[in-house]
Amino acid sequence: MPWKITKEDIRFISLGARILSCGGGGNTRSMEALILSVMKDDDVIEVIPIHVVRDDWWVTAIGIMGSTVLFNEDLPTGEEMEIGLSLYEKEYNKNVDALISIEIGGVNALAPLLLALKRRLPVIDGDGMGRAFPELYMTTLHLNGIPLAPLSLVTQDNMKFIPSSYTSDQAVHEAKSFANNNGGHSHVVGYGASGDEIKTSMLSGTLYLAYRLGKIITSYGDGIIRLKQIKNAFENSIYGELSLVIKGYVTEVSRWFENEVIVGKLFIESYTKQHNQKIEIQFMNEFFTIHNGESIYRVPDLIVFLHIDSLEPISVVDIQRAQSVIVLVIPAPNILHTTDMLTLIHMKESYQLLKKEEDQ
Amino acid sequence: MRQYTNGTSRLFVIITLISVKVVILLLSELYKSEITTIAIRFFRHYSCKIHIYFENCDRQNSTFGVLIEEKLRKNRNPIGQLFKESCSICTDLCTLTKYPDEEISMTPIRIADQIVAYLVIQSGMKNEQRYETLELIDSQLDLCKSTIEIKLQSLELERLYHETLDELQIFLQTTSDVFVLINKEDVIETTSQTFSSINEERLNVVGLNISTLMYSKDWERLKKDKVIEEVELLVNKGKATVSLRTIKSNDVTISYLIQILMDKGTVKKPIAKQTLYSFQQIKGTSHSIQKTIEKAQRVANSDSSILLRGESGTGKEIFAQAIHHGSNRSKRPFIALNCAAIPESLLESELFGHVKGAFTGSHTTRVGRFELANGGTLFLDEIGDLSPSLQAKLLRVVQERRIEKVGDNQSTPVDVRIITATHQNLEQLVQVGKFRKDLYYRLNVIPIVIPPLRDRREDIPILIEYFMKNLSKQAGKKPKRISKEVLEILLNNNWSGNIRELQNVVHHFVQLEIGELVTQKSLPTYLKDEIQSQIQLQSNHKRIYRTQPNENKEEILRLLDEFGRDTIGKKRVAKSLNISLPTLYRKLNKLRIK
Repeated sequence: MPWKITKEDIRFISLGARILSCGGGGNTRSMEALILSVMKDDDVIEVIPIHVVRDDWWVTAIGIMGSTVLFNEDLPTGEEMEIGLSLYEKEYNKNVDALISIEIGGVNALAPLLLALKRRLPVIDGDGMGRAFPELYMTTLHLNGIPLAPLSLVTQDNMKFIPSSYTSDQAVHEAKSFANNNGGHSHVVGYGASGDEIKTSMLSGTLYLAYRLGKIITSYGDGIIRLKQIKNAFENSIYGELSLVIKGYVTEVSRWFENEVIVGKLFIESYTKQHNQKIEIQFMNEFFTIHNGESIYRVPDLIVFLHIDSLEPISVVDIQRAQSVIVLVIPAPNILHTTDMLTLIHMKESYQLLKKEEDQ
Repeated sequence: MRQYTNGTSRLFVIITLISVKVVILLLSELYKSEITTIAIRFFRHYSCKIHIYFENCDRQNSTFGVLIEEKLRKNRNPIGQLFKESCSICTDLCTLTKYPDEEISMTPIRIADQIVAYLVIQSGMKNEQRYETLELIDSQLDLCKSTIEIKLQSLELERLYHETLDELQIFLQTTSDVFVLINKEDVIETTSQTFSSINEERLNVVGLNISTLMYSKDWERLKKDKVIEEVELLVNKGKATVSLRTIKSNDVTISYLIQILMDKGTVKKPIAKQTLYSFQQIKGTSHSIQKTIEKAQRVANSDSSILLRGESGTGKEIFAQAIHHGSNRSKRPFIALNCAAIPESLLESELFGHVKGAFTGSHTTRVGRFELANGGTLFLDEIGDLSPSLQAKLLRVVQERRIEKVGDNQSTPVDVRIITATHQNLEQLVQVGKFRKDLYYRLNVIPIVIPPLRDRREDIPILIEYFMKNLSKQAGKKPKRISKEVLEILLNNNWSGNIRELQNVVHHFVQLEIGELVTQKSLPTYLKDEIQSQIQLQSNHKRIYRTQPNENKEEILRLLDEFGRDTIGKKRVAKSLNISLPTLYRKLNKLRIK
């Protein structure tokens, strides 16, 4: 049945979304603060689970694209999403009945909540990625044939509508160009579809999972018990049984920018004698592969870093030498492991450190 | 220092003396700290500095000398080259080898016949005093070697002893026969894992005298005769044939190993190690299933009888297992019985057991499920199918906590927590007289209703993912994704068979779908037909609904006029329409009402 997000729940969702972002997804704290500044104490956001989504609804996906670093430097006013939705409805001549997140990992988990609050619209419990991916088209929505356009793009100073005549590739190209020319990031309203199309294309229950994870991390209790609860939460979701890869400390981090993407690698040594004594992890906006001589885990499975004491998630930006961490790997839902999806996320090309790193 | 990639790791310790160097070349990781400690203790009077290095070396080439050559080159000591010869000479001669000209003394250290280290001393003195010092150092070296070897021998014996004990433990864990090891003081040292199958009294006999297991007179007779039959065992009051082997070392008795073979007719079936579900493994985040789990968790630790209600395939046995797993009886047996699956004529015997000769075909005494579950939990599924006579007998057991085997006039106490389950309407059965009211109230102390799958559809994606992952892995199939049409069907199906039916459907398409995209083709036929008729029904409903949109708008307008169009008024309108405020705003938006 539908459930409601209260003001108190926002920080849980923010924290849980950081876990699902696998080290990327931008800084949720700014969006969290923005929502809390707008939300009254008795305000609620209605969340619609998959089976309650009406087939005849028109649903759009909401998100923010571009550089997370630049987004953090250029904080939104909170009006951008509403403007984007109004532009979409006006140009496309269609009222939107519900919203969904493009990706649950990071800031984009919170983006639709802000708009839902302002426009009194429900949010669907699900998303299009199940984690954070670097590109706008790397969604299960796109995989299932839902076109990205029509698409509205909004920054603080500018806006643009891309009509439905554009193919998804063309729309992505236009969107990137717009974002690059307008401060490096943009709010996005797109992937419009009927309720029945959305519910059969999305990854279900991810918003609720983010909420549960955030609640576990902020609860009082022994770290071992909370870690077990995190394990249970993932097992009781569309993800599955997680693996604890290593508990140890970061011995080395190297990090640099390439094409406005944070790229790098780090090493972790275990506290105890175990088979994963020392591992190397590479990242490209998100953590994407773990090596211990050979690649043992990689994207699309979720690689998550948690602080060893607080269990708070650590991003690729925040990871530092000498930090004590726990590294978990959570299996991605089946759909992300299919050949079609792996092709969509360009496994080979997107996820390897560029040659420049090897020269460094 | 050079690195070598092959061979054993070794540790060498260089103790830099005033003018003497002591080098310990260890060829094995074993006992490195003991050797080092003793050597340092012997030569500490000379020491002013100790260096410890870890290196890899090839033992055969004995290039250890080359390794330290660079270090010692400053002192112009050609110690390196000599090692190659020294080591092999040492090995051959097994003696202290001296190279006066090069001021080196060297001796091997052995455990049994295996050289585990070399002890080497090199002196840099160049005067008369040197020779006296060298003689002193040589004798120190001899003494050190002996001390180390005695110590290592003792350590080695201890290690072998523990290894043997470990091997024995492994044997005892894996053997299917019942063994007990007793020491020479007649104290039970350890038992095989299978001992629990005969240990009905559940006594912890390890560390206790053998008289816990059998009478002393029988034990004395066994030690003498080695094999005796019809020995009465005190752990189960049964009779067994026991054979004994004496374990000796140097003709001295160390311990006794006995093998126990229960006489037929008194053996209970050993309970195989059970893997039971826990609450964490019950899938679903819906409000209804989470409420049910919470209720079950709250009552798990009590001994109250629980009645699980739910349709077929909802997971009643899984809940029963989880309740047992979460209770303080979790280490005791969990025994399940489906009352509908066994013919009535056999059900009584199945539940309570029977004695030998109780009826035609009963050649041995047999324990029933109640006795098997003693101390633990008994789960009786389909309790509504129990016959009136068995209901009466069950009532007596529930009330008096004693059972009577079929054909026996004696009763046996049992300590069992009873969980029952039914998909039937027990209240109705009570009303029509098919189920005893008194038994109903005894069993229905805590009813727990497990919701059907159709009442928790938001859990369907989680269950599908779970079954797909497991079944694909088991079948060696690649991951699949579900087409929109199929997911629509799965979300909308009535699921009269609940989770079991869903699991079967997933199994069906995982096995049958060749490609990665699950299409309608790989669904069971009955499902395709079912959903077609449902879709038809739904589309009829939608047509009816679409003809009446204006009524809804008029109603909303009327209420807005009545309560007002401010936020408080809208809240009242929403309450009146039994919808949430956000839903009302959506309707206003859609109907273009300002």
